[in-house]
Amino acid sequence: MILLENVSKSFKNGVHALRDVNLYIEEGEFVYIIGPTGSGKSTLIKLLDGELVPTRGRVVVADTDVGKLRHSKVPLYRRNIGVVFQDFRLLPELTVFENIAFALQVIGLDKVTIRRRVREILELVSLEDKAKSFPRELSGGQQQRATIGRAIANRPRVLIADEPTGNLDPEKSQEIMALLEKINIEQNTTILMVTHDSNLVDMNKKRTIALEEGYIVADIQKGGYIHHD
Amino acid sequence: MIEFFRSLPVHFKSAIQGVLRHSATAFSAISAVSVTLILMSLFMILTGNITKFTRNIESDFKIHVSIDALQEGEDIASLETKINAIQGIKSIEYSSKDDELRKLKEENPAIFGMYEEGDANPMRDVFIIETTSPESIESVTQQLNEMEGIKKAEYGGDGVSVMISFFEALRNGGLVFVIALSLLAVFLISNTIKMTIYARSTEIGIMRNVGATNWYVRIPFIIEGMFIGILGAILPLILTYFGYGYLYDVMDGKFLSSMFVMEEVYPFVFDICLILLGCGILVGMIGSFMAVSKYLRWKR
Ligand SMILES: Nc1ncnc2c1ncn2[C@@H]1O[C@H](COP(=O)(O)OP(=O)(O)OP(=O)(O)O)[C@@H](O)[C@H]1O
Ligand SMILES: [Mg+2]
Repeated sequence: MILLENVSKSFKNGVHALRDVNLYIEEGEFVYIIGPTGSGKSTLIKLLDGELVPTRGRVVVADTDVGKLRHSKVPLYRRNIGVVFQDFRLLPELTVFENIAFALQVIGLDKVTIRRRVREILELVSLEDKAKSFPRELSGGQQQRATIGRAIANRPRVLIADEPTGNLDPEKSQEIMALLEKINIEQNTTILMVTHDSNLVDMNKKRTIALEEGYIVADIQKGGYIHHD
Repeated sequence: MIEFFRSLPVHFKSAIQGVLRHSATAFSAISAVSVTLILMSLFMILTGNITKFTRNIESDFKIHVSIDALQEGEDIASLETKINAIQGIKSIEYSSKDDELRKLKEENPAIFGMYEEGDANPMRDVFIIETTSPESIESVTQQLNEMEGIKKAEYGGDGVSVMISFFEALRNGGLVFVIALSLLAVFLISNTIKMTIYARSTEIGIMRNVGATNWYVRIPFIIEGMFIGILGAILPLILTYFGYGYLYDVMDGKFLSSMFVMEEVYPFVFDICLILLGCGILVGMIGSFMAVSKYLRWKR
């Protein structure tokens, strides 16, 4: 489902964010990406999302060579994947309801279906009472849940989440984890999740890939957080 | 396609929100359109009337054909038939040299009074020819000049043709000016909308993030540009409609002399208003299309 072949990414300022990364993730897998700050986790997410183009190598998601997509085709590709951004990226002038509805509008669903689905989603991420609030009126954790809701709204085949529990307390984190696991099992959605939360990784053991200075330094099937000195 | 029509109401809503939300910048874009359209209207009124003047003058145009000594076995009637075979001739009229001299004597007895009719008459027999359209005057004249038995064919006075070419130049100059002006307006609108879009470049990026195609992102902005064009056209439309009517009344329908008859108010102003509205909408749409396309490229 996700394939990275000899992928390197360097920026104009000379930073090598990823170096020769090889990675294969099968359909229906649930994988953690861990690593210290600045190790290239978000860069990896942006390559998968098509926002960045690899300097070298190939990024393939759901049979699409993401780095080779034409600019105008990138949004079409994104309809197959859901992305939870580290910086949320909610539309500031739209309410929570409208933000989630927007992702469904652009793919051309009809009003009734959209409304039903958004209600469902709001319930899943426990934001029913915030439907009419604007992003600026929400706490960090609430915005985060709105973003998760938007990412899963159109039942994507692949869900890529950059620190989806970064702003949540342990209880809410567990709730979100339960939600993601449910989607993973019920819809066979492939999930790739970046996280800093060692407790969460230890409690819900899954395949864990560790990045450090742009290299993959560990890829452990049974998981558990790798602690640094 | 179904997707497109389904999304139209949403686009209209977001376009109206766009204009309202950025009312200050929208206002400056609207003013840019207004100024351009007012100047455009002035030039259209000017060129419209010039065209009318020229047509009036040109319709007075007649070709003067002086006949050489008649060829053997030919008379006036057969020459007339030969001339009539030329394309673009509306009427042909014969006037003998004595008739010509009499006309001149009537107009100016002091100078021409000394000439005698008959053999001593210095004038020539002529045909006076009217063409079906002013445009064909030149080619008809040329063909006449190449015919046997014709001394010379000419039209108009120098003054008149100078005036016509002056009008022509003015009209062409006006056209160039109007086109340049429209380009300027597109540029101004594009710039103004760029400012409103700049503030929303993050939003555009987010829309693409959740799967909105470039066209989906563009459409509300283009509709917004259309609104700006329509709003900007309101003042020029009013000014044109009432202004020209007023001018026409004050000038009594003519300019300086009765040779320059002004274009009737209706449907002239309707045509201009329609063109202004169309230009406003077009210019607004192109301007915002250019602006939004720039920011679409901002992020992948
Ligand atoms: N657009 C950019 N231009 C230049 N350098 C960049 C850019 N984006 C990221 N970097 C650099 O690339 C490296 C990896 O960044 P990245 O955002 O992938 O880290 P991360 O693992 O997500 O960190 P964090 O845990 O803090 O989110 C960093 O050194 C960062 O400064
Ligand atoms: Mg990051």
